[in-house]
Amino acid sequence: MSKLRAIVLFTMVIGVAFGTAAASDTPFLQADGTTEQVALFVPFVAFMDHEEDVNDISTALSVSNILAAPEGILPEQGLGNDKGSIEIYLFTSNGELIVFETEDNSVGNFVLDDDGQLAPGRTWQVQIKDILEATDSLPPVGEVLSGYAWVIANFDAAQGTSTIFYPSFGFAQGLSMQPTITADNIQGGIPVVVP
Amino acid sequence: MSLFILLSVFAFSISADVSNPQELRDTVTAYWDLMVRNDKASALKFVLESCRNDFINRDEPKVKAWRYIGDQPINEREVEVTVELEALFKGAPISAGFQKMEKRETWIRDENGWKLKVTKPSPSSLAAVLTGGRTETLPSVLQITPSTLRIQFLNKSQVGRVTIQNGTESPAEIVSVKFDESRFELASEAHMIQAGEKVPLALRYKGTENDKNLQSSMSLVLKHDGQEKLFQIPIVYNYLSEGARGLFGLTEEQARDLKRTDKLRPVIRQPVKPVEPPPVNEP
Repeated sequence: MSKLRAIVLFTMVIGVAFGTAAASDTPFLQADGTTEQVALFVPFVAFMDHEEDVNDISTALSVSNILAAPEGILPEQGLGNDKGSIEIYLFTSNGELIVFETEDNSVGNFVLDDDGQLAPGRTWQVQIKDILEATDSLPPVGEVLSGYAWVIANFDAAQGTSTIFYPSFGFAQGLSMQPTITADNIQGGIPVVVP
Repeated sequence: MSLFILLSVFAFSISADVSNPQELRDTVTAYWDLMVRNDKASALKFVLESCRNDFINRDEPKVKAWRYIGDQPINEREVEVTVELEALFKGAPISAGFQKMEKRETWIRDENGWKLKVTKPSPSSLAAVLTGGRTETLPSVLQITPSTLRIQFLNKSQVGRVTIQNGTESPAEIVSVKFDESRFELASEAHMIQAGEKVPLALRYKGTENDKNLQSSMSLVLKHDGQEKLFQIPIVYNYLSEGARGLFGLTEEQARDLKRTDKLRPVIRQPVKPVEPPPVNEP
C-alpha cells in the first residue's frame, strides 16, 4: 500500500468515525454531548432601585427558542427537546449566586405555558427585577446589583440578549448572549453535559 | 336640581378644554415650528413646569419637517397628539437620510393653556416594549401556580413561592395555610385575593438538611363564594436541577454531597469541532 493510499484510508476511517459520533450523539450542530440543555453566557446585568417603582438601572433579558427554523436549517438528528423551561444562574459582583427557573407563566412577558416551558419560535422577555423579586433577592434601595449570568435553556437551541437601561443617562446598552449565531459558527448555545 | 345644574356646568367647563381643537392645534404648531428651528429655549414655555429639566436634557433628532396627524383625548384634561416627523436621528448612518416617523406625545391643559408632558425614559415606560404590549389574562378560575413549590438549594434566600390567581368575579379569602413549621416559615403575608388579581405566597426553608430534592407539602384552604376549597401543594426543597448539575459539572454523588458553603464553578465548555483533514493532492 502506498503512503498516499494509507493517508487516504486513514482519513476515510477518521471521517467515518467522526461522522458516526456526530450522527448518534450530535447536539444542535455540534459534536460531543447532548443538547437536551444548552447554555448561554450573559456578559453583564445590572440593577438598582432608587425609590419605589423608579429604577436607576435595569436589565431586560430575552431568551428565544430558535427551533422554529425553516426546513434544512436544523439537523435531522441530535435533537431531543423542542421546548422546555429556562434557568437563570446570576453571579453577582460580590460572588453571590441567585438561581431562578421558570415554573409557570407568571414571570416575564406571558409567553410560557402553564409549566413555564418556552415553545419553538417564542421569545421570553423578563426584567431582572422580576427575577430578583421572585427569588427574594432584591438589593437594598440605592445599592447596585451587577454581575454576569448563565442561562440554561432546557431545549435544543437558544439565543438571547441582555439589554441594560440607564434611564438617568437616557442610555441603553444591548449585549448578545454568547455564543451568538454567526456565519461560520451556526449554533444555538453550548450543549450542556450532565455528568 | 341646583346640584344637577352645577355638575352640568362643571362637566361642560372641563370638556370645553378638550373640545377646543383649534387651540390645541395652534399650540402644537407653535411648539413644533420652534423645534424645527432647533430653538428649544423658546419651546420650553410649552413644556409642563415639572418636566422642563427632562426636556432640556433630552436628546433631540434634527427635525426637517413635521405634520399634524391627529389627537385622541385621554381624559378631561389630557390629549394624545400624533405628529409625523421627518427627522435625522443621532447614531443613524447619514446615508439613511431623514426618516419619516410618527410620534405620540401627551399634552395637558392647565390654567395657562396646553403644555407638553415629557416622559422620562424608564424601564416602566419601556414595559410595553419588553412585554410586546401583552397583558396577562387570568383563566376564569381560582388556581395556584406552579403546581409544585420549589426552593432552590443554591439560593441564599431559601425562598420559594406559588401564586394564587383569582380569575373569577368574586374575591377569595385565605382561611388557612398549613406546612411543616419545623422546616418552613411564611415569607410573605396574604389574606385576600381580589377578583382578577393574583397574590404570591412565599415560604422560606429554615432548616439545615443537606440532602437534595427533598419533599414536603403545604395545605391551603381558600374561601370563595361561601365555600371552602382545599389545595394540596407539593414542596420540593433543597432543589437542585439537572441544569445546575450540568452547569457546575456535578455528578449525582457530588450533587448529593454538595454543601451550602461549597464554592461552585461553571464548567461549561465549547465543544471542539472535529478538524477536517487537509485535502490530499494527487501527485
